[in-house]
Amino acid sequence: MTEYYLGFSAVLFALGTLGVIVRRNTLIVLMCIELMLNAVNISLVALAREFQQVDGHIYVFFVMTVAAAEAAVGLGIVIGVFRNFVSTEKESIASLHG
Amino acid sequence: MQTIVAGSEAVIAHQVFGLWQILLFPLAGALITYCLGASSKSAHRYAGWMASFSAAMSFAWVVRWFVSLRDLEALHSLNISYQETLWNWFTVGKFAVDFSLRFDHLSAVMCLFITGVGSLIHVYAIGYMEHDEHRPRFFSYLNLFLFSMLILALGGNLLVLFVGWEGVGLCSYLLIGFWFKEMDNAKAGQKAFVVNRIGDAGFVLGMFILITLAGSLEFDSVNALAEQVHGNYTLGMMIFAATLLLFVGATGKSAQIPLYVWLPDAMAGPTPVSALIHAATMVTSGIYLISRLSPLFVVSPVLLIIAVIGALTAFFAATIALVQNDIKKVLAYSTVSQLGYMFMALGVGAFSTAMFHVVTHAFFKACLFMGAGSVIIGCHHEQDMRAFGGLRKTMPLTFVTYLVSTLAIAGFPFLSGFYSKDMILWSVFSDSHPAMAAITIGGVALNKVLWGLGVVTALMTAFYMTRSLVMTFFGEYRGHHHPHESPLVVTIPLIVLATLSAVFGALFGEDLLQFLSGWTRSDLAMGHEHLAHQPYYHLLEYISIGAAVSGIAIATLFYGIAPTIPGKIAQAFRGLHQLLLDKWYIDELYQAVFLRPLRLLSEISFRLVDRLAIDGLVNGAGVLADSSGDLVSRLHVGRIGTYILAMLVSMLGMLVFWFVG
Repeated sequence: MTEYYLGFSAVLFALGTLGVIVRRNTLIVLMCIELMLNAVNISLVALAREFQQVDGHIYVFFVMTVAAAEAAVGLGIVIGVFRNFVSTEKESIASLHG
Repeated sequence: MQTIVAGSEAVIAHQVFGLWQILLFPLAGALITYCLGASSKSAHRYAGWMASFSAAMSFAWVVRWFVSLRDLEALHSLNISYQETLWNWFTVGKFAVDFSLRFDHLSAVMCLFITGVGSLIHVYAIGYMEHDEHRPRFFSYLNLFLFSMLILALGGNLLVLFVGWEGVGLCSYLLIGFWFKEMDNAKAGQKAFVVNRIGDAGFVLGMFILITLAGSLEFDSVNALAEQVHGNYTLGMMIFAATLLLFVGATGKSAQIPLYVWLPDAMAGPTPVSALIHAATMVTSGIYLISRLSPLFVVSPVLLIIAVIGALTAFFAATIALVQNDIKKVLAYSTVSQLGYMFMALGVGAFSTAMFHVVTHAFFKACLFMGAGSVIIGCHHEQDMRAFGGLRKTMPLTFVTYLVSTLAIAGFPFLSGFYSKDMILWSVFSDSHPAMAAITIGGVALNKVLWGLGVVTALMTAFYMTRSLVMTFFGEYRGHHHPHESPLVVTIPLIVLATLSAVFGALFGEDLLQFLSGWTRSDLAMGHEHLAHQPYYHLLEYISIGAAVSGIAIATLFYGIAPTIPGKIAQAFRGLHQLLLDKWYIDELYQAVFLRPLRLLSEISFRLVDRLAIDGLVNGAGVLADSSGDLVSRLHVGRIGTYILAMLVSMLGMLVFWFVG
């Protein structure tokens, strides 16, 4: 039973990673990052249920908090970048090239 | 007090303190004159007097030490040499060199005429350089020269002597190229310095050999090597090498074959420079060096080479002087020729005779040069004798002094040149060294051949000197200026030196020879009375007098009485005349054989080795850094997607390695 949860978590994680690499829109990238974090949450809870320990659940709380804070900060950065580049395409933020 | 055996008599070394004061005056004079001249324009007037004062003070000091030496010697009836160690210069392992000074008979004689004639020339230069803007620099250099020359003469070991040796070379360069704004003068200065340097290379190599042999450069240690040479073949060979190299140094400094080429060009410098450096003092350094190391030279086969080169140089230079038209060039080649005489004397072991000729030559040659300078400024900087003539009426004092000095150099009886030259010729003729008799040219023993060369050279000397006298002072004035006699500052030194040239040989010749004899091994210093009983002596004397008188007579005939004869002879022997006028094309020979290949070599080194190879390497390093930087900077794509991909790929790789490895 647990293996299905872990598999599910792995798939979600992979999708999130793929999204981060492939998608052009910065906001979508942020969403994919959230997806990755949530995938990890699922696997943590599944394993906590299997071993009947509360550590996994506590860990999930921390991850959620950090994810929320990071989402806030990330959106702030996106807004700042948007002000300078007038575009949310991550490809166009390429002025630091050599 | 320790006893050192120098020559045939024991010499006591006596430690003193205060010889350095002799050196102090010229050094201080040089510095003060230069700084004062650089700081204020009005000081230019006093520069000459300040410098002459320093020179005179050093002369006074030398006299004081000389008198003290004589008194001490008379008190103890011994030969004494004053030694003074100023400080320990450096010590490397067991090889220690002190900056030490030595004042003995040989250096006393040197210092006396260096400072004496030097002071007179300083005073003369006040008059000669009267209208020059750069007087302070000139007099500063003159004092610096005096300082270096005194270090050379007073040096207590070979290295201190070498310091002075280099110093006079430097001052010679500075003074020859004094009017450096003219390219020719600058080139002449450079030529003098470079040719000197070649000699110095020999000197240094010789010193190295001596250090290896004796472990020290002190004169006594080096001379002591001579005692160990009996039967020791390797030591003999090493000493031969060392003395040969030192002789090469001497040929550079004292203008002998092959390194004499700088001296005629050095006439580009002001005449006081020619008088002081290239007649009286610097050029005698080589002779002083060899006299100093005479015990060593006596046991080395190099003496034969020295005698032959001396004779050849004397003859060869005299031939060139026969046809020169520039009065200073005549005197320059005359100097080379007279130096050849001194080396001839050295070559037969007559060291004190050579030094005697050094002193008399200093007097009459300095007087001749200064007289020529007086004529030059009197005729408004004209130097070609063809534009002179009849100057004895307008410049009587210069005429009389020039006449006396000409007679002295020609070897006219009872003037000092006669005594010294006669002694040299006698020494060469009667040399009893087996090698001299063994080597024969056309059946005649070598020393007789050299003597013959010496006699012919004496005839030529008398001829060309009288030629210059007659062309300058007799006949009608052929120039375009108004000649006038020179001021007292110029004529008084002339009178002093002419007097010395006249009487020194007769009055002090014997004493000088006696003073210097016993200072060196196998020295010939017999009294005149003793000599008179030697076989052939009177015959030789008459031959020398005959040569001198006939030279004077022929020149008077050619240039005074029948002035068309020289022209006709020159026409008849046009090729020979041109050869002599062009100095036997030696400069051109050196250009072709040495200078051109050297220039080619340096061009190759410059273009190939320097530009291509070395610059290529250094610049290549820069290019390498640049291009590799370029390559690496391509990683900065700026695209976030690429960065994220790279990050994830590397993370994956790390995980794989972690689990697999």
